Amino acid sequence: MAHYPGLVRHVAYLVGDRTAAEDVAQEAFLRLMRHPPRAGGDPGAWLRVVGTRLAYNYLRAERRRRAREDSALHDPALLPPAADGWIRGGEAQAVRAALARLQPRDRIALLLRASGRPYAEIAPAIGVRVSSVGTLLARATDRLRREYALEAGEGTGADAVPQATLESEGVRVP
Amino acid sequence: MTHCAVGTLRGFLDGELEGERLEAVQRHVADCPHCRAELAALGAGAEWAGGRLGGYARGLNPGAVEAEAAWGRMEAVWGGGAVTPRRPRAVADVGPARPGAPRPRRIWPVASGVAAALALSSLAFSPVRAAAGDVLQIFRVQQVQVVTVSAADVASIEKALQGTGQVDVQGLARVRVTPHGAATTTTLAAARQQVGFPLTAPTALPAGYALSGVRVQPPMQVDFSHLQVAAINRLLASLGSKEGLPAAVGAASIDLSVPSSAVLRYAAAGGPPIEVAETVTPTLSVPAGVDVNAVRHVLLNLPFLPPDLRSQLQSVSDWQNTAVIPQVPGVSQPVRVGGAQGAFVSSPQGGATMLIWLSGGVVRVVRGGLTLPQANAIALSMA
Repeated sequence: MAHYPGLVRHVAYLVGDRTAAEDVAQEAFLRLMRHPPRAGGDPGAWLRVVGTRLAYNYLRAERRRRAREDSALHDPALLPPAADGWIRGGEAQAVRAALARLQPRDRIALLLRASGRPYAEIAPAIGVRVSSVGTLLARATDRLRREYALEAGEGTGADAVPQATLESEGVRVP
Repeated sequence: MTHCAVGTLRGFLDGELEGERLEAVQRHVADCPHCRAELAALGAGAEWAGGRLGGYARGLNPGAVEAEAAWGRMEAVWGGGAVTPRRPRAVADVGPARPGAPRPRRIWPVASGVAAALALSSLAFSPVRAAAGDVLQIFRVQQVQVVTVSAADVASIEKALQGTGQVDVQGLARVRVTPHGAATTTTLAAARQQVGFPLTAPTALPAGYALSGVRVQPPMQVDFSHLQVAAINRLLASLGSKEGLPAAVGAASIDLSVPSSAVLRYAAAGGPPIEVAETVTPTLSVPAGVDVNAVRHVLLNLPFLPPDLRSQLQSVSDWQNTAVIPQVPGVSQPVRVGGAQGAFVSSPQGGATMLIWLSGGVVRVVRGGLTLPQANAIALSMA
């Protein structure tokens, strides 16, 4: 159980929701007990890999559910409210809301990369080839920038995405 | 080569390219303004995202995760199998969110290059004695001295070494490298807190350059043990040495402690990236039973050392505290950076240059395609 708090933090960082993170972390632990990795393996690393994969599945299921329930209400306002004091600072709130509007694949890739993970770990977590991770990160960065600019009301401010970047990378503006 | 793909450039920024692919991108980017501009834009985006997502991670406040309650829930689901639950560890000390566990990673070439150069010069010529204690002799580089090496000297050393074929370091000692954590990409503010020495980012850069990435390499321990004195002495003899290392060296464990380092990368649309690396000088610990003066004596008396170079090395005062930087005409030259001794090194092929200097126990390197006045201006803005 020494790994539990760290795993909850890791998953909460990925899914942006504390309660969901506890459920996902619990599921990872149950899998560890049912199918323990081979002797000599590092259970902490095993848990992180499984926890990341489960977080990705959770985000995809959540997105499908929201789309199914009412596409007209498919809006970041539907983001489950964060528990009181769980997240500090207006900027962090805006980042959380911007992340919630990204595809789970983009979101997981950006968050893993920002915490220093190598491409070899990012690729299997989101089911892509290692050679695709660079392109995916470049495009996801621009999408996050755009969503954040909308969220923080900085559409024309210094944080707006330079148009040249969008054009040169062929990013589709929805 | 056509233009680099966006994903390739992003991989380059993230330190994910190796070998021929890395070299091909470096060569192409050096000649292609389009890809340099692309690289700068990608770097700005990556830096922006790193800052925002880092702030988001720090903003998450997990509070005390209730491991005990979670354990109870899981036990209920598990249904009392053969697993004997251990008492969960207290979790009152849960800190701010820092997702994930460390994982060994490649370090940036400039950082490893600096460490290797310092380690080599420390090992070969200038281990440093500071407060010793009874057990260990501790060496730390505290100054830099430049010795002149002519092209003829270099040629004669190369000729002497060619005769010995490959030197298998693995067979001469057991070398164990223990990194204390993984290299991380971070923000300048976070790096200042992590490195444990005053990080002095430059305030004056050529026009158009902006910070595009910060990487911190945590401390590293390099441990040399099981030195095969007989094999080392055979190698020394094959190099013409009449003397060998004392047998006591064989039982010694020599530790090289490489402190954490930071690399700041600056990018601009119109030019190659500029990197600024900073680290505290490494420390070498040698057991008291090893006579480091005897080791130095043997190395300095290797017959292939040109007499002039040998006498320069022998005359280095306070050799225990001095890193020796060779001055090779057309390649490296001694310079003063503020009041500190340093060296300016240019690649023989032209283009790449490096300014390295040491002050206040911190080694700093400015690397890029800079002239000496440009590099010096950046260096002085770090004082």
